[in-house]
Amino acid sequence: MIYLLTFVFIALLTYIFYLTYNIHVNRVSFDAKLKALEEFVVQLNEEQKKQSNQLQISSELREKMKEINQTLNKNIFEMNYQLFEDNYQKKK
Amino acid sequence: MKKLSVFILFIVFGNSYSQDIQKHLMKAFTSQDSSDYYFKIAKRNIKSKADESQYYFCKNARCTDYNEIDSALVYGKKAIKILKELKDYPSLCTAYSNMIKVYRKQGRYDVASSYALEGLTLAENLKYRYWLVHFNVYLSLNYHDFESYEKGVFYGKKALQYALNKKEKDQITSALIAVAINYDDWNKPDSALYYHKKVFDYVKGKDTLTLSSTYNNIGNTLLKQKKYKEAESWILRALRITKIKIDGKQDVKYSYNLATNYTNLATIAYELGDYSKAEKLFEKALYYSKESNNAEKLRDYYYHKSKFEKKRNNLQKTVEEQENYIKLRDSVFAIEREQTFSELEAKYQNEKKEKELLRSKNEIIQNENEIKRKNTHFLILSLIVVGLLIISYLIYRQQKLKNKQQEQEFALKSAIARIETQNELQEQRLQISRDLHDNIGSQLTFIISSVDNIKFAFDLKNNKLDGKLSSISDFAKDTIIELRDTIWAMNKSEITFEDLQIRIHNFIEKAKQAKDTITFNFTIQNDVKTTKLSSIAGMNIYRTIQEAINNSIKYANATQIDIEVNQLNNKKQITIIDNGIGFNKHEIEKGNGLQNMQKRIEEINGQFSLESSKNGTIITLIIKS
Repeated sequence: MIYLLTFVFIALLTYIFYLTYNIHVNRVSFDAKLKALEEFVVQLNEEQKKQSNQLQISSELREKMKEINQTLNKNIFEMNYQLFEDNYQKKK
Repeated sequence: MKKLSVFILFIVFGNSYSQDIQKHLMKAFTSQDSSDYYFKIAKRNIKSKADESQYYFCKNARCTDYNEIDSALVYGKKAIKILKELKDYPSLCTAYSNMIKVYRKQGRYDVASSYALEGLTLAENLKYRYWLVHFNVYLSLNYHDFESYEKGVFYGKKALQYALNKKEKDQITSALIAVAINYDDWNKPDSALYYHKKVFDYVKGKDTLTLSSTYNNIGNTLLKQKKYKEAESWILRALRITKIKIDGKQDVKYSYNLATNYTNLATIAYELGDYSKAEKLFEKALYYSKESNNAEKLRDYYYHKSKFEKKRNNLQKTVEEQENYIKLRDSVFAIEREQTFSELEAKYQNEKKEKELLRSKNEIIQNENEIKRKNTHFLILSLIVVGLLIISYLIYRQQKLKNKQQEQEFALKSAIARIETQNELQEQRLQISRDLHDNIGSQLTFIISSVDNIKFAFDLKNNKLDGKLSSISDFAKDTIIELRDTIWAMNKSEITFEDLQIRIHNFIEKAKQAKDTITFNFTIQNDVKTTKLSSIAGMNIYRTIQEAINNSIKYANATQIDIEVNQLNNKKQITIIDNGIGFNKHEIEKGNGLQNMQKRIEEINGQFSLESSKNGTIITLIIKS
């Protein structure tokens, strides 16, 4: 009886060690996995930030282009006006 | 007893003795006339110690049954010695029994009791229930014959207890008789009669013919109660039974019974006053007492005979019988013997007590061991329970951890998916912007070439129109440069100070073309060159420096413009210095240019400062790393 009980106790003890080790290994592997994922998220965020910067530059340019467009339109209009004026003088 | 001896012999011989000696000893034991002849053959066939022991054992048994007392003692002692060496305990018990029987006949109750106690010790050790009853009965009888009735009753009752447990009729009867005769001579006739009559609860009908001694004993008790007629009837019944059993046989056992019967009948006769009948009966009693070779019977005879002679006033005879009685009694009840008896008893009791003590000690040790064993069991069981609890907790914890990990993993993966989607969307938007900018760039180039073609193809006399066309062409060219700078910044995810240096150098080269009187110095510390800036920061710094240089060229009439980039603690310091005419910060309101510069630097968490005097202007930009 005592041998059986001792055997059961040792088996339980071994199982406890196995479970503890298993939990530790799981935790370590999960931490590694999580770290990799977090690094990936950070990388994606940085990339997103860069893209945002580039988009900001693009939107600024768009604003600038609007101004340029207006200026250019004005210049072209003035040039056309000058041409009409010249041609009108010539016809006269 | 004879039957028993034969039975034991069969058992013993069936085991370990040589076949020849077995055969001869059996014949010697059962044969009436040729016994000596077969014993001689058996003696010649002795081959081992075991054979020798059985030879002496059978000789002892035979001599005991045939009342050859001296020979029985010699052979018995030899047999006992060898049987002890061989550890043949069943045979040893039988040998003890025979020796007791012989010594009892001699009236040497002390020696008989020593054998009985040895046998009893052996039987107790080996748990021989049959022999436990047997030796206790003999002890009870020995104490009775030694007139120590209290002890006789004690051993008799002990024997009775063992016999009742064993439920063996013959042994129960023997024990009951032993108890009864002790009570009888102890002057407790009621108890004696109770035990005598109890015998008939176990032996009934025809079997009562084996109980002549019980009939006689009842008669004897009644005789002591002076119930002579009733006593006579019981004793006569005993006598008749004994005579039926004799049936012409010559047996010592019957002589003993007859001696008892006739002594009792003679006593009743003289108590009733029939002296002549008593005389005749005493003659028969003397004959059978001598025949039985039993000291106790002779002692009883002399005792009652002396009383008889006294009653009929025959004083000379009375004295003679009295002397005979005393002589015999003294031979039995010598002081030394009494001492030996007491010592034997004390020795047996001591041994018994020691055994009891040893057994108690063993029991205590066993109990302690049992308690220790139970405690150990309990401890291990407790540890197992604790172990099970720990395992349950660990499994629960493991499951909880798994769930938590899954939740965290899911949250992270969801975040990644969301960011990736957003990145994809932003990438698409950037791609569209790039395409759009490329398109604008080509359209502007088309405008420039169209305007230049117009100017080249048509000889324009109108200066105003020519100026307008040149203005459109220059504006488009500036726009293209600005567009290229922006696309450069957009295509780079990160911009280093080295990239900025190259870009600014390009710009300075163009500026030099426009105004070659200005000297430009652009220095950058080596350890700052590799510092990375975000595209928006790089673009803002580039635009600010560009604006500052433009201001110096356009408004300050500077001949020297120095641009320096230095490391200042954890920050980068960019200084644009010109030796122009400067301006009063308080008098001149900040135009779009200055405001834009400040706004761009603050956008990237930098500091913008401007100092101007007649000797020139210093613009300082401090950018956090």
